[in-house]
Amino acid sequence: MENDFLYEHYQRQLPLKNFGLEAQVKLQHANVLVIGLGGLGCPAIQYLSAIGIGHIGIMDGDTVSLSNLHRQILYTYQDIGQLKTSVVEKKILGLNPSTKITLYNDYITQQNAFDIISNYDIILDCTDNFKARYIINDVCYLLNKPLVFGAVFQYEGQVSIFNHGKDAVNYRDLFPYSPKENESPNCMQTGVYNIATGVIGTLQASEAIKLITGIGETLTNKLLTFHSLNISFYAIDLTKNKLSSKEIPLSRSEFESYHYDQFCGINSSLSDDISAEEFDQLIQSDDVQIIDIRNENELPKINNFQSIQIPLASLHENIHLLDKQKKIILFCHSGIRTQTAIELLHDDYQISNVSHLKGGIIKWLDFKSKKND
Amino acid sequence: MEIKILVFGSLVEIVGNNFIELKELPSQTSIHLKDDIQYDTNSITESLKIKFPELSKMKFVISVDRNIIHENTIIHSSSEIAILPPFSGG
Repeated sequence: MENDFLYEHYQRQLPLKNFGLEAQVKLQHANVLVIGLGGLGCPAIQYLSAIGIGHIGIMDGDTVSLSNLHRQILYTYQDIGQLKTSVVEKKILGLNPSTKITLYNDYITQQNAFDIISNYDIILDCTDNFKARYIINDVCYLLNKPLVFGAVFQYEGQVSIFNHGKDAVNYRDLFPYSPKENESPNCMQTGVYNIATGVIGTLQASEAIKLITGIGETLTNKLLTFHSLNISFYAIDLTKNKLSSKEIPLSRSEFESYHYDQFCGINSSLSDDISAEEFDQLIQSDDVQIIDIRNENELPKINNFQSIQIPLASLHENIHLLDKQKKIILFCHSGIRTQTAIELLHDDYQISNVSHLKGGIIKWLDFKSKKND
Repeated sequence: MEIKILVFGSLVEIVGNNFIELKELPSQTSIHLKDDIQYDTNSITESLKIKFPELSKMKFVISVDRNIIHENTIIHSSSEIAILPPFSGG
């Protein structure tokens, strides 16, 4: 009976050469974790579920925002503000009701990585920053989990499978040193081509499927690069690198105390939210650039400190005004628009050294008036 | 001697093109090479960094004939070289 239903659902793939019921059953018993539900995760998870993978873990701490929609095509306009994991779960269960889905409403960290990754057979790195990528790589190395790596830059992409098979190579064998956070020289307006994320995410799903079913040749120990504009693929063979073994943590406790922020050149002294009190101190510093993202005619006018006005709607055209050498602090009226602005700067321009005044300028004005009482 | 170096990602903007040609005749993206000297990846990298100083700030790996290299490697006139930076976007 169950086989009849299986046949009906998957009848278009079962006849494929080397596929058949055998491959279908392997897929059904597989456990795949997709970390990152953005440009790469959206296409990947659709194909993984559609082909019949039995259990998929989905991990992301983010909510859907408008600037996601150009490439994160699982989401709709109505989903803006919703947790990505919830939206993905709903969509995927619609696509394939027999997929078991486990949600993780969180970003991958040193605290959660080990316990979560250990539950899965194959891990897909669909994240968007180096720190997450090195964390995922190191845990997969320690737990011996194959890692399907995918990443994009503008119109280009990279795909590989790490930590799999004989003489397995891991990400540190390829790139033993992480670029520091502000290293790229002309990176104010990088942008990303939605087709690139679509192709790379889909290729990641395909690599996972081939690992599970044993069909075809995988990108184990190979780095495949893809360029959307001239439709070129270029693959290089990877080998172990002595440098990687010097840095990689060799145990769970080493991993949990590893200095990822330092390794990736992240200045973690400033978090996203700044309180009115912190803001009051920072406005006197030379190392910060304060940006008012309200519209030009909005009141109250602020003259107590130096800031530049870039209304949110014109942020894209004025990205060049942001001083990446300084800590950038955004403010708006009540702290809502700045959340959108921070997401935009992070997602579209990979600018992460930016914080915002929690509660908006009215919070700071309130703080000041209480201070003067 | 004539060698083509394929360029990827953020390195393209620094170098001005998605390939560099190393040959006898100087042009915008080419570097003069002598025929009687054997070249290796270290010297090629040094020449590239002199020609394109911004490259010194960047992290990238080098492949020769589609194999990643981890140490200085002799190259020949038919060698296919690529310089690849890491991508993080998603």
